[in-house]
Amino acid sequence: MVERRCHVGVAAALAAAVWLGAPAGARAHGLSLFAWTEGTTIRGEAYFIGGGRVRNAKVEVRDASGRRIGEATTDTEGRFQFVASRRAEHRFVLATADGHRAECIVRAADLPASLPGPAVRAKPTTPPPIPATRPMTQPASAPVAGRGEFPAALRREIRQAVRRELTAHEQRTRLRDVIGGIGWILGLAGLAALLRRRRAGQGGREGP
Amino acid sequence: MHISEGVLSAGVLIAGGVPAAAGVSVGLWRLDDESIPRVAVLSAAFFVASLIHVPVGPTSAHLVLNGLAGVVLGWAAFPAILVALLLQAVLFGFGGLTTLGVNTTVMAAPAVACHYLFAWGVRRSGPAVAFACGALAGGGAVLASGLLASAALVTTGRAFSAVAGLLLAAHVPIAVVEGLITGCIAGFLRRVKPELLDLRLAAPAREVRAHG
Repeated sequence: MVERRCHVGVAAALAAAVWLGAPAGARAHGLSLFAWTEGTTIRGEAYFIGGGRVRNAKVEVRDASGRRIGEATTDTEGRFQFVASRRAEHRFVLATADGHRAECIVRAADLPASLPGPAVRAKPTTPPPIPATRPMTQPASAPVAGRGEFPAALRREIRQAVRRELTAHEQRTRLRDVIGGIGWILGLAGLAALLRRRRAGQGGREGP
Repeated sequence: MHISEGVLSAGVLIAGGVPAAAGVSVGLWRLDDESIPRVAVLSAAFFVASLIHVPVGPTSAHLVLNGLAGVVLGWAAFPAILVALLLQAVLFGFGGLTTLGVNTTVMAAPAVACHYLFAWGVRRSGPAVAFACGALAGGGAVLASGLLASAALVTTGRAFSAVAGLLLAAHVPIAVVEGLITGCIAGFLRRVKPELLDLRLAAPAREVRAHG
Protein backbone atom coordinates (compact mmCIF):
# COMPACT_ATOMS: atom_id res chain seq x y z
CA MET A 1 0.00 0.00 0.00
CA VAL A 2 2.66 2.43 1.10
CA GLU A 3 4.87 1.22 -1.72
CA ARG A 4 2.29 1.79 -4.36
CA ARG A 5 1.53 5.23 -3.06
CA CYS A 6 5.16 6.17 -3.21
CA HIS A 7 5.51 4.88 -6.77
CA VAL A 8 2.58 7.01 -7.75
CA GLY A 9 4.17 9.89 -5.90
CA VAL A 10 7.44 9.60 -7.79
CA ALA A 11 5.64 9.31 -11.10
CA ALA A 12 3.44 12.31 -10.30
CA ALA A 13 6.35 14.43 -9.17
CA LEU A 14 8.40 13.63 -12.23
CA ALA A 15 5.42 14.19 -14.50
CA ALA A 16 4.79 17.52 -12.81
CA ALA A 17 8.40 18.49 -13.25
CA VAL A 18 8.42 17.56 -16.90
CA TRP A 19 5.08 19.24 -17.49
CA LEU A 20 6.23 22.41 -15.78
CA GLY A 21 9.41 22.23 -17.72
CA ALA A 22 7.84 21.67 -21.08
CA PRO A 23 6.57 25.15 -21.92
CA ALA A 24 9.69 26.72 -20.54
CA GLY A 25 12.04 24.01 -21.66
CA ALA A 26 13.20 26.59 -24.10
CA ARG A 27 13.75 29.05 -21.31
CA ALA A 28 17.18 28.11 -20.12
CA HIS A 29 19.02 30.60 -18.03
CA GLY A 30 22.08 31.13 -20.10
CA LEU A 31 21.91 34.61 -21.59
CA SER A 32 22.76 35.56 -25.13
CA LEU A 33 23.22 38.96 -26.63
CA PHE A 34 23.90 39.99 -30.19
CA ALA A 35 23.98 43.24 -32.10
CA TRP A 36 24.28 44.50 -35.63
CA THR A 37 24.52 47.90 -37.26
CA GLU A 38 22.10 49.80 -39.46
CA GLY A 39 23.83 52.99 -40.46
CA THR A 40 24.84 54.73 -37.26
CA THR A 41 22.25 52.84 -35.22
CA ILE A 42 23.33 49.71 -33.43
CA ARG A 43 20.45 47.35 -32.89
CA GLY A 44 20.54 44.26 -30.77
CA GLU A 45 18.57 41.51 -29.18
CA ALA A 46 18.91 39.75 -25.85
CA TYR A 47 17.45 36.36 -25.20
CA PHE A 48 17.78 33.39 -22.92
CA ILE A 49 19.67 30.56 -24.59
CA GLY A 50 17.05 28.23 -25.95
CA GLY A 51 14.49 31.02 -26.40
CA GLY A 52 12.62 33.58 -24.34
CA ARG A 53 13.30 37.30 -24.60
CA VAL A 54 14.99 39.35 -21.93
CA ARG A 55 12.49 42.10 -21.23
CA ASN A 56 13.11 45.55 -19.75
CA ALA A 57 16.72 44.84 -18.97
CA LYS A 58 19.46 47.45 -18.91
CA VAL A 59 22.28 46.94 -21.39
CA GLU A 60 25.45 48.84 -20.62
CA VAL A 61 27.43 50.26 -23.51
CA ARG A 62 31.18 50.52 -23.10
CA ASP A 63 34.08 51.52 -25.30
CA ALA A 64 37.14 49.41 -26.10
CA SER A 65 38.84 50.37 -22.84
CA GLY A 66 35.80 49.35 -20.82
CA ARG A 67 34.68 52.90 -20.07
CA ARG A 68 30.94 53.26 -19.84
CA ILE A 69 29.58 55.43 -22.65
CA GLY A 70 25.88 54.85 -22.37
CA GLU A 71 23.02 52.56 -21.68
CA ALA A 72 20.14 50.96 -23.55
CA THR A 73 17.03 49.20 -22.32
CA THR A 74 15.43 46.18 -23.93
CA ASP A 75 11.78 46.38 -24.93
CA THR A 76 9.18 43.67 -24.43
CA GLU A 77 10.67 41.75 -27.36
CA GLY A 78 14.15 41.83 -25.91
CA ARG A 79 15.33 44.35 -28.53
CA PHE A 80 17.40 47.42 -27.86
CA GLN A 81 19.12 50.09 -29.90
CA PHE A 82 21.86 52.59 -29.44
CA VAL A 83 22.93 55.43 -31.71
CA ALA A 84 26.68 55.42 -32.18
CA SER A 85 28.37 58.80 -32.16
CA ARG A 86 31.85 57.53 -32.90
CA ARG A 87 33.31 54.94 -35.24
CA ALA A 88 34.79 52.91 -32.45
CA GLU A 89 34.40 49.57 -30.83
CA HIS A 90 31.21 49.26 -28.80
CA ARG A 91 30.83 46.62 -26.13
CA PHE A 92 27.37 45.74 -24.94
CA VAL A 93 27.09 44.13 -21.53
CA LEU A 94 23.91 42.71 -20.09
CA ALA A 95 24.05 41.60 -16.47
CA THR A 96 20.96 40.61 -14.55
CA ALA A 97 20.81 40.96 -10.78
CA ASP A 98 20.89 37.23 -10.15
CA GLY A 99 24.29 36.68 -11.68
CA HIS A 100 23.68 36.04 -15.36
CA ARG A 101 25.76 37.96 -17.83
CA ALA A 102 26.28 38.23 -21.56
CA GLU A 103 28.45 40.42 -23.72
CA CYS A 104 28.84 41.23 -27.39
CA ILE A 105 31.07 43.51 -29.40
CA VAL A 106 30.36 45.71 -32.40
CA ARG A 107 33.60 46.46 -34.20
CA ALA A 108 34.52 49.90 -35.45
CA ALA A 109 34.69 48.61 -39.03
CA ASP A 110 30.97 47.82 -38.91
CA LEU A 111 30.06 51.45 -38.39
CA PRO A 112 29.96 53.97 -41.23
CA ALA A 113 33.16 55.81 -42.06
CA SER A 114 31.30 59.11 -41.83
CA LEU A 115 31.47 58.94 -38.04
CA PRO A 116 34.47 60.46 -36.32
CA GLY A 117 37.08 58.08 -34.94
CA PRO A 118 37.41 57.07 -31.31
CA ALA A 119 39.56 59.98 -30.25
CA VAL A 120 37.32 62.77 -31.55
CA ARG A 121 34.24 63.90 -29.72
CA ALA A 122 31.20 63.86 -31.95
CA LYS A 123 27.93 65.70 -31.81
CA PRO A 124 25.31 63.42 -30.30
CA THR A 125 22.88 63.92 -33.17
CA THR A 126 24.91 62.73 -36.13
CA PRO A 127 22.58 62.13 -39.07
CA PRO A 128 22.95 58.92 -41.09
CA PRO A 129 25.65 59.16 -43.76
CA ILE A 130 24.62 60.50 -47.13
CA PRO A 131 25.49 57.74 -49.59
CA ALA A 132 25.60 60.00 -52.63
CA THR A 133 28.67 61.86 -51.44
CA ARG A 134 30.99 58.88 -51.48
CA PRO A 135 29.52 55.71 -52.87
CA MET A 136 32.79 54.47 -54.36
CA THR A 137 35.24 55.43 -51.65
CA GLN A 138 33.75 53.20 -48.95
CA PRO A 139 36.27 50.77 -47.56
CA ALA A 140 35.95 47.43 -49.30
CA SER A 141 35.74 45.58 -46.01
CA ALA A 142 32.54 47.35 -44.98
CA PRO A 143 29.78 44.81 -44.41
CA VAL A 144 26.93 45.04 -46.87
CA ALA A 145 24.12 44.55 -44.38
CA GLY A 146 25.30 47.47 -42.30
CA ARG A 147 24.95 49.87 -45.22
CA GLY A 148 21.21 49.80 -45.33
CA GLU A 149 21.16 48.46 -48.87
CA PHE A 150 18.52 45.85 -48.04
CA PRO A 151 14.99 47.07 -47.54
CA ALA A 152 13.88 46.88 -43.90
CA ALA A 153 11.28 44.21 -44.62
CA LEU A 154 13.84 41.95 -46.22
CA ARG A 155 16.21 42.44 -43.34
CA ARG A 156 13.48 41.49 -40.90
CA GLU A 157 12.70 38.38 -42.94
CA ILE A 158 16.31 37.33 -42.95
CA ARG A 159 16.67 37.93 -39.26
CA GLN A 160 13.59 35.87 -38.45
CA ALA A 161 14.73 33.04 -40.68
CA VAL A 162 18.14 33.01 -39.07
CA ARG A 163 16.56 33.05 -35.64
CA ARG A 164 14.28 30.10 -36.52
CA GLU A 165 17.23 28.14 -37.85
CA LEU A 166 19.28 28.94 -34.76
CA THR A 167 16.54 27.89 -32.37
CA ALA A 168 16.00 24.61 -34.20
CA HIS A 169 19.73 24.04 -34.23
CA GLU A 170 19.99 24.72 -30.50
CA GLN A 171 17.23 22.23 -29.76
CA ARG A 172 18.97 19.55 -31.79
CA THR A 173 22.40 20.12 -30.34
CA ARG A 174 21.00 20.23 -26.82
CA LEU A 175 19.82 16.62 -27.01
CA ARG A 176 23.17 15.63 -28.42
CA ASP A 177 24.93 17.51 -25.63
CA VAL A 178 22.88 15.73 -22.99
CA ILE A 179 23.79 12.35 -24.37
CA GLY A 180 27.40 13.38 -24.83
CA GLY A 181 27.60 14.71 -21.28
CA ILE A 182 26.27 11.49 -19.81
CA GLY A 183 28.80 9.63 -21.93
CA TRP A 184 31.55 11.79 -20.46
CA ILE A 185 30.42 11.02 -16.94
CA LEU A 186 30.32 7.28 -17.61
CA GLY A 187 33.73 7.47 -19.23
CA LEU A 188 35.20 9.31 -16.25
CA ALA A 189 33.68 6.76 -13.89
CA GLY A 190 35.21 3.96 -15.95
CA LEU A 191 38.55 5.72 -15.90
CA ALA A 192 38.38 6.19 -12.14
CA ALA A 193 37.52 2.51 -11.66
CA LEU A 194 40.36 1.48 -13.96
CA LEU A 195 42.91 3.62 -12.14
CA ARG A 196 41.84 2.32 -8.77
CA ARG A 197 41.97 -1.27 -9.94
CA ARG A 198 45.41 -0.81 -11.43
CA ARG A 199 46.69 0.73 -8.22
CA ALA A 200 45.14 -2.10 -6.18
CA GLY A 201 46.66 -4.65 -8.57
CA GLN A 202 50.13 -3.16 -8.16
CA GLY A 203 49.91 -3.29 -4.39
CA GLY A 204 48.58 -6.85 -4.39
CA ARG A 205 49.85 -9.60 -6.59
CA GLU A 206 52.90 -9.62 -8.83
CA GLY A 207 51.73 -10.41 -12.37
CA PRO A 208 51.16 -13.98 -13.62
CA MET B 1 22.09 29.64 -9.43
CA HIS B 2 24.90 29.08 -11.90
CA ILE B 3 26.89 32.28 -11.59
CA SER B 4 28.22 33.41 -14.97
CA GLU B 5 31.68 34.50 -16.00
CA GLY B 6 32.74 38.04 -15.31
CA VAL B 7 30.21 38.72 -12.56
CA LEU B 8 32.31 38.03 -9.50
CA SER B 9 35.53 39.68 -8.33
CA ALA B 10 38.77 37.73 -8.26
CA GLY B 11 38.70 37.58 -4.48
CA VAL B 12 35.30 35.92 -4.43
CA LEU B 13 36.36 33.50 -7.15
CA ILE B 14 39.32 32.41 -5.05
CA ALA B 15 37.33 32.34 -1.82
CA GLY B 16 34.84 30.04 -3.53
CA GLY B 17 37.46 27.95 -5.29
CA VAL B 18 39.46 27.01 -2.19
CA PRO B 19 36.64 25.18 -0.37
CA ALA B 20 35.68 23.55 -3.67
CA ALA B 21 39.20 22.18 -4.11
CA ALA B 22 39.27 21.01 -0.50
CA GLY B 23 35.87 19.35 -0.81
CA VAL B 24 36.79 17.63 -4.05
CA SER B 25 40.00 16.33 -2.48
CA VAL B 26 38.16 14.94 0.53
CA GLY B 27 35.53 13.42 -1.75
CA LEU B 28 38.09 11.75 -4.00
CA TRP B 29 40.18 10.60 -1.07
CA ARG B 30 37.18 8.86 0.47
CA LEU B 31 36.06 7.36 -2.81
CA ASP B 32 36.21 3.58 -3.08
CA ASP B 33 35.50 1.10 -5.85
CA GLU B 34 31.97 0.42 -4.71
CA SER B 35 30.90 4.02 -4.74
CA ILE B 36 32.26 5.04 -8.16
CA PRO B 37 29.17 3.95 -10.12
CA ARG B 38 26.98 5.65 -7.52
CA VAL B 39 28.89 8.90 -7.92
CA ALA B 40 28.57 8.64 -11.70
CA VAL B 41 24.82 8.07 -11.57
CA LEU B 42 24.23 11.01 -9.24
CA SER B 43 26.54 13.19 -11.29
CA ALA B 44 24.57 12.34 -14.42
CA ALA B 45 21.29 13.05 -12.62
CA PHE B 46 22.58 16.43 -11.47
CA PHE B 47 23.84 17.20 -14.98
CA VAL B 48 20.46 16.48 -16.60
CA ALA B 49 18.33 18.01 -13.83
CA SER B 50 19.45 21.48 -14.86
CA LEU B 51 17.45 21.07 -18.07
CA ILE B 52 14.14 20.56 -16.25
CA HIS B 53 12.84 24.07 -15.87
CA VAL B 54 10.17 25.53 -13.68
CA PRO B 55 9.04 28.96 -14.86
CA VAL B 56 9.02 31.45 -12.01
CA GLY B 57 7.96 35.02 -12.65
CA PRO B 58 10.39 36.88 -14.88
CA THR B 59 13.09 34.25 -14.70
CA SER B 60 13.13 30.50 -14.69
CA ALA B 61 14.67 28.07 -12.28
CA HIS B 62 15.52 24.46 -12.75
CA LEU B 63 15.89 21.34 -10.67
CA VAL B 64 19.22 21.05 -8.92
CA LEU B 65 19.15 17.70 -7.12
CA ASN B 66 22.13 18.62 -4.96
CA GLY B 67 20.26 17.53 -1.83
CA LEU B 68 19.80 14.07 -3.27
CA ALA B 69 23.45 13.93 -4.30
CA GLY B 70 24.46 14.93 -0.78
CA VAL B 71 22.27 12.38 0.97
CA VAL B 72 23.46 9.55 -1.24
CA LEU B 73 27.10 10.52 -1.72
CA GLY B 74 28.26 12.52 1.27
CA TRP B 75 31.60 14.15 0.51
CA ALA B 76 31.71 12.50 -2.90
CA ALA B 77 29.01 15.02 -3.86
CA PHE B 78 31.86 17.51 -4.42
CA PRO B 79 33.56 15.65 -7.30
CA ALA B 80 30.18 14.55 -8.69
CA ILE B 81 28.89 18.13 -8.79
CA LEU B 82 32.19 19.50 -10.08
CA VAL B 83 32.12 17.16 -13.08
CA ALA B 84 28.45 17.87 -13.79
CA LEU B 85 28.99 21.65 -13.54
CA LEU B 86 32.02 21.46 -15.82
CA LEU B 87 29.97 19.65 -18.45
CA GLN B 88 27.05 22.06 -18.03
CA ALA B 89 29.40 24.99 -18.53
CA VAL B 90 31.08 23.51 -21.58
CA LEU B 91 28.03 22.00 -23.27
CA PHE B 92 25.16 24.28 -22.25
CA GLY B 93 26.90 27.51 -21.40
CA PHE B 94 25.49 27.50 -17.84
CA GLY B 95 27.80 29.20 -15.40
CA GLY B 96 31.36 29.40 -16.60
CA LEU B 97 34.82 27.97 -16.29
CA THR B 98 36.23 30.67 -14.02
CA THR B 99 33.22 30.43 -11.72
CA LEU B 100 33.41 26.66 -11.57
CA GLY B 101 34.96 26.72 -8.10
CA VAL B 102 32.40 29.12 -6.67
CA ASN B 103 29.50 27.25 -8.23
CA THR B 104 30.81 23.93 -6.95
CA THR B 105 31.03 25.30 -3.43
CA VAL B 106 27.62 26.94 -3.71
CA MET B 107 25.94 23.67 -4.66
CA ALA B 108 28.08 20.98 -3.02
CA ALA B 109 28.60 22.48 0.44
CA PRO B 110 24.85 22.40 1.25
CA ALA B 111 24.77 18.87 -0.19
CA VAL B 112 27.38 17.66 2.28
CA ALA B 113 25.64 19.51 5.11
CA CYS B 114 22.41 17.74 4.17
CA HIS B 115 24.23 14.46 4.29
CA TYR B 116 25.18 14.96 7.90
CA LEU B 117 21.78 16.36 8.83
CA PHE B 118 19.41 14.03 7.04
CA ALA B 119 21.08 10.91 5.67
CA TRP B 120 20.59 8.96 8.93
CA GLY B 121 16.87 9.60 8.76
CA VAL B 122 16.61 8.41 5.18
CA ARG B 123 18.61 5.29 5.97
CA ARG B 124 17.29 4.06 9.23
CA SER B 125 13.88 5.27 10.28
CA GLY B 126 10.40 4.49 9.01
CA PRO B 127 9.06 5.49 5.59
CA ALA B 128 7.41 8.67 6.81
CA VAL B 129 10.56 9.93 8.50
CA ALA B 130 12.60 8.90 5.46
CA PHE B 131 10.32 10.90 3.19
CA ALA B 132 10.44 13.91 5.50
CA CYS B 133 14.22 13.78 5.76
CA GLY B 134 14.58 13.42 2.01
CA ALA B 135 12.23 16.33 1.43
CA LEU B 136 14.06 18.52 3.93
CA ALA B 137 17.39 17.62 2.35
CA GLY B 138 16.12 18.34 -1.18
CA GLY B 139 14.44 21.63 -0.32
CA GLY B 140 16.99 22.77 2.23
CA ALA B 141 19.95 22.20 -0.07
CA VAL B 142 18.37 24.35 -2.80
CA LEU B 143 17.58 27.18 -0.42
CA ALA B 144 21.04 27.04 1.15
CA SER B 145 22.62 27.13 -2.31
CA GLY B 146 20.45 30.13 -3.19
CA LEU B 147 21.69 31.92 -0.07
CA LEU B 148 25.32 31.07 -0.79
CA ALA B 149 24.94 32.33 -4.35
CA SER B 150 23.42 35.59 -3.08
CA ALA B 151 26.26 35.93 -0.63
CA ALA B 152 28.78 35.50 -3.44
CA LEU B 153 26.99 38.15 -5.53
CA VAL B 154 26.63 40.53 -2.60
CA THR B 155 30.31 40.42 -1.71
CA THR B 156 30.95 41.60 -5.26
CA GLY B 157 28.91 44.66 -4.48
CA ARG B 158 25.29 44.08 -5.32
CA ALA B 159 22.47 45.15 -3.08
CA PHE B 160 21.71 42.18 -0.87
CA SER B 161 17.97 42.68 -0.61
CA ALA B 162 17.51 42.77 -4.38
CA VAL B 163 19.67 39.75 -5.07
CA ALA B 164 18.46 37.60 -2.21
CA GLY B 165 14.87 38.54 -3.00
CA LEU B 166 15.29 37.51 -6.63
CA LEU B 167 17.11 34.31 -5.88
CA LEU B 168 14.81 33.27 -3.07
CA ALA B 169 11.70 34.10 -5.07
CA ALA B 170 13.06 31.89 -7.81
CA HIS B 171 14.15 29.10 -5.53
CA VAL B 172 11.31 28.70 -3.06
CA PRO B 173 9.05 27.01 -5.64
CA ILE B 174 11.99 24.93 -6.85
CA ALA B 175 12.76 23.97 -3.27
CA VAL B 176 9.19 22.75 -2.81
CA VAL B 177 9.20 20.71 -6.03
CA GLU B 178 12.65 19.40 -5.33
CA GLY B 179 11.77 18.52 -1.74
CA LEU B 180 8.86 16.39 -2.97
CA ILE B 181 10.96 14.71 -5.62
CA THR B 182 13.89 14.05 -3.31
CA GLY B 183 11.58 12.70 -0.60
CA CYS B 184 9.97 10.29 -3.06
CA ILE B 185 13.28 9.21 -4.56
CA ALA B 186 14.71 8.67 -1.08
CA GLY B 187 11.75 6.48 -0.13
CA PHE B 188 11.98 4.64 -3.41
CA LEU B 189 15.73 3.97 -3.15
CA ARG B 190 15.33 2.89 0.43
CA ARG B 191 12.97 0.13 -0.60
CA VAL B 192 14.35 -0.87 -3.97
CA LYS B 193 18.07 -0.21 -3.67
CA PRO B 194 18.94 0.38 -0.03
CA GLU B 195 22.60 -0.26 -0.72
CA LEU B 196 22.69 2.97 -2.70
CA LEU B 197 21.98 4.92 0.45
CA ASP B 198 24.54 3.16 2.58
CA LEU B 199 27.89 4.76 2.65
CA ARG B 200 31.03 2.71 2.91
CA LEU B 201 31.16 2.60 6.66
CA ALA B 202 27.47 2.50 7.40
CA ALA B 203 26.47 -0.39 9.60
CA PRO B 204 24.75 -3.23 7.77
CA ALA B 205 22.04 -3.53 10.42
CA ARG B 206 18.86 -2.97 8.48
CA GLU B 207 16.19 -5.39 9.62
CA VAL B 208 13.47 -2.76 9.55
CA ARG B 209 12.06 -3.37 6.12
CA ALA B 210 8.34 -3.08 6.09
CA HIS B 211 6.78 -5.51 3.68
CA GLY B 212 3.25 -6.70 3.37
